[in-house]
Amino acid sequence: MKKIFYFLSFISIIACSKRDEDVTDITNPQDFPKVIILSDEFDADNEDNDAVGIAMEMLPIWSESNPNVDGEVLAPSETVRVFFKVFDYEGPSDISNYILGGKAFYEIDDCTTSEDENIELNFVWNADTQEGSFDWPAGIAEIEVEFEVDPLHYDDAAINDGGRGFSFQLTSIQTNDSRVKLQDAPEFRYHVIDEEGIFSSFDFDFNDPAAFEAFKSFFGNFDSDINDLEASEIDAIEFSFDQEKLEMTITLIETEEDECDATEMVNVEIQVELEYDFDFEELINITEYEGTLVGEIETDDLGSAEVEIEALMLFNGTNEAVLTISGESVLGEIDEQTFTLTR
Amino acid sequence: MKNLFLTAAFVMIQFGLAAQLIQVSGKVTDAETGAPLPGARIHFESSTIGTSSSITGDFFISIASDKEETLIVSYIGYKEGKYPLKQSENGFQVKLTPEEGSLSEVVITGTLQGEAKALNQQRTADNIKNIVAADQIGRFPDPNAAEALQRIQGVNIERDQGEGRYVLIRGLAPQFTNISINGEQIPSPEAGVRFVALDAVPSDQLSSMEVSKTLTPDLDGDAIGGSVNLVTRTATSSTPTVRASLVGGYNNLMGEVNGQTSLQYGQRFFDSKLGIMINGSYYTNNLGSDNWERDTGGDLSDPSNDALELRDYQLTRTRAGVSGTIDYKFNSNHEVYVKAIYNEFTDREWRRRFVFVPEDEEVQKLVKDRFEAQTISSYNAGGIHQFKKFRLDYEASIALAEQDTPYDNELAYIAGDMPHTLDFTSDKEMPSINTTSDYLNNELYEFDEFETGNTLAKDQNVTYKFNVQVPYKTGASSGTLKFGAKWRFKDKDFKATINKYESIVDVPTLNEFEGGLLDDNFLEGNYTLSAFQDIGKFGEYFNNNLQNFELNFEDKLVDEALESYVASEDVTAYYLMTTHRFKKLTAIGGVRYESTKVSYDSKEVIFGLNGDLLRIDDISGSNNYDFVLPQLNLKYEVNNNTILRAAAVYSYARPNFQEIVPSQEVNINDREATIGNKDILPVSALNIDFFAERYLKNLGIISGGVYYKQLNDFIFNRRFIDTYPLNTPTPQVDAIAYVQAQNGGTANLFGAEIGAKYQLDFLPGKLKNLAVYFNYTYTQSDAQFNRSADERLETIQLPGQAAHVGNFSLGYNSKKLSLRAAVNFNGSYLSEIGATADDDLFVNNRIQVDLTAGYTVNKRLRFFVEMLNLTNQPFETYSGSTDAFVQREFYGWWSRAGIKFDLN
Repeated sequence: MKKIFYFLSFISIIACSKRDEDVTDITNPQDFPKVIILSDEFDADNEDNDAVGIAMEMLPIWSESNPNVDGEVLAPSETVRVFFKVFDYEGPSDISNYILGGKAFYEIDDCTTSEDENIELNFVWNADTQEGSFDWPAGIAEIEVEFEVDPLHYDDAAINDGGRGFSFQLTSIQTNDSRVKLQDAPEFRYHVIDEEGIFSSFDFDFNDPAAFEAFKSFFGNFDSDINDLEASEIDAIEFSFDQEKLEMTITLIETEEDECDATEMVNVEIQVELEYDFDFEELINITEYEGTLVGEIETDDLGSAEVEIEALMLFNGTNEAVLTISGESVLGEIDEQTFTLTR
Repeated sequence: MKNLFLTAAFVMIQFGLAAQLIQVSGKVTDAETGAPLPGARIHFESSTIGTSSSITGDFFISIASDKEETLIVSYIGYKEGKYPLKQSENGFQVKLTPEEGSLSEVVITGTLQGEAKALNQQRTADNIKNIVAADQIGRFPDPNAAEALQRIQGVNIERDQGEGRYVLIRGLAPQFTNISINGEQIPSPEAGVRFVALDAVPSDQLSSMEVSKTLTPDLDGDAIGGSVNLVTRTATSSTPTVRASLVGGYNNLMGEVNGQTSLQYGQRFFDSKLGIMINGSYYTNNLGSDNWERDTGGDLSDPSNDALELRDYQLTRTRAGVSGTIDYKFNSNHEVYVKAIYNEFTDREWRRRFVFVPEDEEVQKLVKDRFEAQTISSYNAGGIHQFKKFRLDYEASIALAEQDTPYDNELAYIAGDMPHTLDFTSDKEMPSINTTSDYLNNELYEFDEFETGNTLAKDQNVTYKFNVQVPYKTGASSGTLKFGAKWRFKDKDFKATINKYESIVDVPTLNEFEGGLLDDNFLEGNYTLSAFQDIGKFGEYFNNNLQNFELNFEDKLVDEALESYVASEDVTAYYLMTTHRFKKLTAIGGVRYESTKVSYDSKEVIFGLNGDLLRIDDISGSNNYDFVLPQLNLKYEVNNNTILRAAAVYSYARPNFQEIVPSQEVNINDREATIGNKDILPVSALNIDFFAERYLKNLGIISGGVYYKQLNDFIFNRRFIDTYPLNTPTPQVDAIAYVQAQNGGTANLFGAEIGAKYQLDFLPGKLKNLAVYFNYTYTQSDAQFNRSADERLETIQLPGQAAHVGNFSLGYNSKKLSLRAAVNFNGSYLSEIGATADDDLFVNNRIQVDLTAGYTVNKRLRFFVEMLNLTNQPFETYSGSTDAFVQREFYGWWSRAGIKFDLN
């Protein structure tokens, strides 16, 4: 038996693998910190805009107990003081003439904000240093900072070459919740764009029967309610080019209660959004552009189908645009149509 | 079916009770060394009744007779023994003395004892069987069981990083061979498959390895190519046996050393009633490979879009095994035992890749760091009881297999704006990269993705079985009726954790994390590499900057759902057979019934029309099938040393779990789907064999035979276009490209094998010590299938089946010195069926040359040197022809030198 003991001792001494050599244990995804990030890297709005909103949120964490594609959002358990700065201003005179003040708030529900409830987030903005800060309350997962800006500051009658705007950066945080971290120097760029160019709203004449049928044959693919519409039911059809998408809005004559105020009646709207598959800056100061947009068709049981749309935009530089579009998806092709838009 | 077996068995037992018996139980040993002699042929002179000695030399034989009988015991290489008997004997000792001549010289050193044991067991086997004994294993430089098995006629192996891993019998793919330890099937530690990677089992844990090429009804019926049984050691002598070895070696490609040690102790106590054997070994090996691979995207016609990978592998593998046997013989008729073996194989792998993608003007650098531990263990407890009228053996066993991958991390960096072209045609063996881009500059590589994960695969068999043997006599002939049953309960599951991280801010470029091995002579200097990223360094950065990384939740859900599954399989088997001996003819015939019930739980992953994850559904199911397998083996002993054999046997092969579990990945946006097939059928086969063996007195053998196999419903991956969902009158999508394992038609295999082992003792002087050994197996297969629904039937070589397999070795064995040069040849075979015939992937021929030299100082001490893969043979795959290599992987040569000693 002694021999067996010696033998087993011998084996146990030599039997080792390289399992632990030069290995760094990687943090499990459920143990990640609660990270504050900016919701978007950029935004843009017309030059006569009077407010600039910048949204920020907590990065979702993997939920081990409830695995799902959206993860789990863990809000701070203690108030977080968030510090920011504004920099890289491009525009006339000084940024202190553009940013007039600001506030921070969060949504309590779709119709109520913290501001409505007089919840103070102690927003501070120093126009001289272009730095500021605010409180991120415990239990809150999304915050928006909104700067009040002078709508006349950039407003002119010319089409500019771009490069107008400013950058915003979260610089640091202070909190007793040690699990809360700030993403390294998250930045946001705000672009000021000209409404004299294509970035504005255009009307579509739905009273032309042929044009309206063509309109329905194209957009009816995205929302089947459009197929059943009569021109007499419609108050207006508007095409709006913004920095991310082309938005088509049908305003019906029919009204409904306002979502947030039951005493007020508003017109029913049908919207279809076609996102740019290109950089919006390519649309600045152009009269003709050919590019791809992406739309979605909802189905009952297979989710939404992505539609690749080839678009040719002809803009006369003043009040008329001609849009020629066709689409293709796994569900089939959408025939080419041409729409004349005016403003 | 069950009642039929029990009734038949009862009737036959009554039949067997008729005669007056002389019963002899005893042991056959070497008169000089006392070593047990397994496989001795034992029979009565007046009768056809015969038997053979067990691995410990024990035997039992009985005859109905009222007169004196002569017991004859023969053993190749030993003088025949004759023993007159009037009555029953217990503990009868048969001591045989070696034949005069060359054998007696080498027996002293023990180098040929193993061959004698193997040949004698092979000769007395009822079916076509090849055996490798432990002493033979040590004569070749084979550290694991797979590499030791490749020396057997008709056996070849698949390799991983140059080391043998899977066993193929008669050129058939690994799933057609079942693997057992001590007679009971062992599960596979790998997820999805049944076949066992034998690189986990150190060869020095085994006393012998048996390859049965034809089945008898008492063997599991799920083996078409054959059945491999690994037998652990048992204490054979009351004299303590303590053996050890110490080995060191060198790998030329990596410039690294390897080491091996083993220790074995065995002894019988209490008048040899209690035997204890314990055996342990440990092997560590530093190895690697240099490799290039071509990614054709399944289309060879447009090489401009092909990508090239340069892969530099660095590995450390360990192989540890502990086995033990405790057996207690109450007397020569009753014995109980407990056997256990535990093997652990670990594999730490660093894979460093340069990936050139000319289409995207990108160069990627990826490093993978993975540790994998495979354990295979088997625990058997049972008994063997020889009663007056019948023999009973029974066993309960549990076999466990696990593959634990605690970390599997890969870090990808990418450099864009790297215009380059690839040339696969000017030098088909070493493609060239044409570029002026500074692709060696690590400052140009940006973070792409960090993937981490771990997996755990478990497989467990719990088995209960019993066998009953009843001798009987009918007129001038006699036989043994055997029947039994087996119940096996298998549980297999696989869990995976897969995390893919992307950065949400800029991460430092690759040059900040350089480290690890840099091969400055990659593929013999044909390519220049620059430093790769060190995952350990990056991991520290990652842990300290978690706020800058984001987990891809969708990929995690999808990957883990598709990988994971739980399955169980319950098998019930009954058999009834007889071994009936006429004068020179032995007929082993019977029938085996096997019933299999499979159930499983897995996931179905559906992607929506826009390519996003739509839902993950649980799916469960079951599948049952039964086989009745008639089997007949005939053995005709022309004389004591010449045997003719024939067999007609039905058998089958179960589908792999990855094929039967109906997990699905359907990507409607890409119009692609990979789906399981719950309705897939096992492959059934009719096997016909004719075989001849001529045993030579100098421990040689010449053998050969022909065989035919008809495989029905062979399994292959079929690509086809159909609607989604399948088989519905109202499909949501008209056409999706599916990949699914399906049953093909019929495959016919014709083959011939020949082998010889011959001592050239007719030569003068020292040349008489030369010995040659060769075997060659040829298999022609025609498998019919239709590649897709709209194409006509094609005839192809059966996937995984090699036409040519062979071994040749020239050895020199003197009293002190042994030398051996061994050549192992594996022919090319179809590895993967492509979308078109041009895309079929083949593994190229491979010839490996090994050298072994040993010097025996005395009975207790032996030195040896081994050199493997001397010609640096690569592993190669190609599409269509060798003009279009898809992969070439080089391992270099490696060596081992060591000492083996008996301590007692």
